[in-house]
Amino acid sequence: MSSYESACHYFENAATVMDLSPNMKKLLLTPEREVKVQVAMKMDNGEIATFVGYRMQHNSARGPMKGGLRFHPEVDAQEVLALASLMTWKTAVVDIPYGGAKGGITVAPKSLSPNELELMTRKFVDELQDVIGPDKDIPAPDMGTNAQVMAWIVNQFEKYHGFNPACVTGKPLELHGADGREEATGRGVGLLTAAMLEKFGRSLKGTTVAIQGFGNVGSFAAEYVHAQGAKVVAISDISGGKYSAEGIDISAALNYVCDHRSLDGFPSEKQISNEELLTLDVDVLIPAALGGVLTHENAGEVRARYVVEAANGPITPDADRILQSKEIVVLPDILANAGGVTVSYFEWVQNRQYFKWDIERTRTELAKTLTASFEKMWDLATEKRIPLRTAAYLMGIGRVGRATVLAGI
Amino acid sequence: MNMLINDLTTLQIFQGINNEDADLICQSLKTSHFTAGQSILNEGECIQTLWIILRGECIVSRSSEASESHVLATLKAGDVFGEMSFVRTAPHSASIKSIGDVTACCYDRNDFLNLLKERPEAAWRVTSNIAAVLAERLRRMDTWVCDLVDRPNAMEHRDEWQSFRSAVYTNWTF
Repeated sequence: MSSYESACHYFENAATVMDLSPNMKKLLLTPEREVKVQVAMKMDNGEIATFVGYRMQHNSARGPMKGGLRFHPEVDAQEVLALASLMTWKTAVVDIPYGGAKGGITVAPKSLSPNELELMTRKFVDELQDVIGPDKDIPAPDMGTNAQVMAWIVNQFEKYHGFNPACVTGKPLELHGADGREEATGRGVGLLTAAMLEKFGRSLKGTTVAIQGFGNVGSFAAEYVHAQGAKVVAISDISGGKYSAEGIDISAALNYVCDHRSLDGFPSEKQISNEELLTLDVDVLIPAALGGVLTHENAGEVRARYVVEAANGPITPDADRILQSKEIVVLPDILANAGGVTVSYFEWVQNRQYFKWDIERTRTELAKTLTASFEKMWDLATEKRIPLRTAAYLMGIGRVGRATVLAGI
Repeated sequence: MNMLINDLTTLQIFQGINNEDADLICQSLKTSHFTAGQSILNEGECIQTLWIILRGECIVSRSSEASESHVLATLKAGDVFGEMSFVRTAPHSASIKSIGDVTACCYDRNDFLNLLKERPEAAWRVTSNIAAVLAERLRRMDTWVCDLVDRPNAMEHRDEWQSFRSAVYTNWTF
């Protein structure tokens, strides 16, 4: 099932619970604007390359649209559109004043030289500059893009519109980025895991955790839960997984990855595969790497009591049903990994106020925002006896629906 | 003005009639001229006459409770009207108005009853041609009804917005 299909599936679930008519579903699902552009440029070797770029602007009922820009060979219109609609629900779930959008270029960024990457980014901005902006649509880093790419985007955008740091988020600290943006998603995963455990009368202390993915999300999540007393017994990245029954020394692993760029060769009690990590006998499983890793084939073997979707869509709808029947609690991605977009919002706020927060303020506000959203979702799920994911979608769709009703069409 | 027998048999309504019978029918047809916007036939009246447009165009309209009048169709040369009241005594279901200059001829039901007595085969042909016209109009009406049933009316639209409002407000707390 494609990301588009699963996005529609979960929307449909919530819409059915809400008893929305087909016409209202269509109103909520149809994107406001789809932009597809040609990005043509001269490569270092003199050849002319033509790439296709997208910006799907799904919904702006609650505010300017927000969502990542990805540079990836598998970027296509339908997938970007699905992710744009997810951003609409996600920004509504955490109640930040944004709508949803997503964009990208179909390209393997590793096949480009740094010069080519910069040129492509700038050409892309030339095409998009009139439809994005701090009050219209604010891009952010995603797969294949980073703070450097955001810096090029701001610089190119400012050539048209003047000083405008709030036109993208996820910028480098030196160029009006927010302190705490990098750790935000992983930290949010940790915070929310703790909030969820608390509902079951537990805490992170002594809880065993397995984390798939040790990148931008997994590593910060590991650091947070480890600091709160959890025992991270397994971690993994593209090179494979490490297992230690007594808990992995997370700061040592972080240092190792800093020096070696991957976990390959990091000493541990036992080497495991990424697949084995998913079925370990642990309390909490955090898939923080790729989408679609838990399917109908392996979901039945999951032994964790709680699964936290740190990645986007790591559980397929089939697997979701299996986990539900096994009474495994799933903290859905649209809230679990919303820490990133929340701190993006804080970055935008700081840019617009010309005032820089210290990291403590960012962390406090992040905890406040995520905890409040979690509590609402939890209450809704308990009151209506529905899974957390359906409750989260209900909140998202309901808030967008309210804004639409008030504003009119 | 008497029309030519050849012209008459080209009209759908008199198709298949032999020259002798056509001559008889021609003698009873009365031709009239209308200027733009003139009412030829009014909804609710009951005149048992079959009209055939020879030149020009007319609109068929009907009033409803919600609106003064709905245009149902445009008729052109060769088309007939009044056929429903012609075959069954009842008030006209719609009004006919000329768009520009129109020439039309009419065929009185009494003349038709005489034809039935004297030339039953010719009368049968006229009746069967009228049935064909009615069948075609009924077929078009069926399609129309289906489209209307599929399309929600304005009242339901307002209900939809209202039920969406209660779906996001009354039933949930966020």
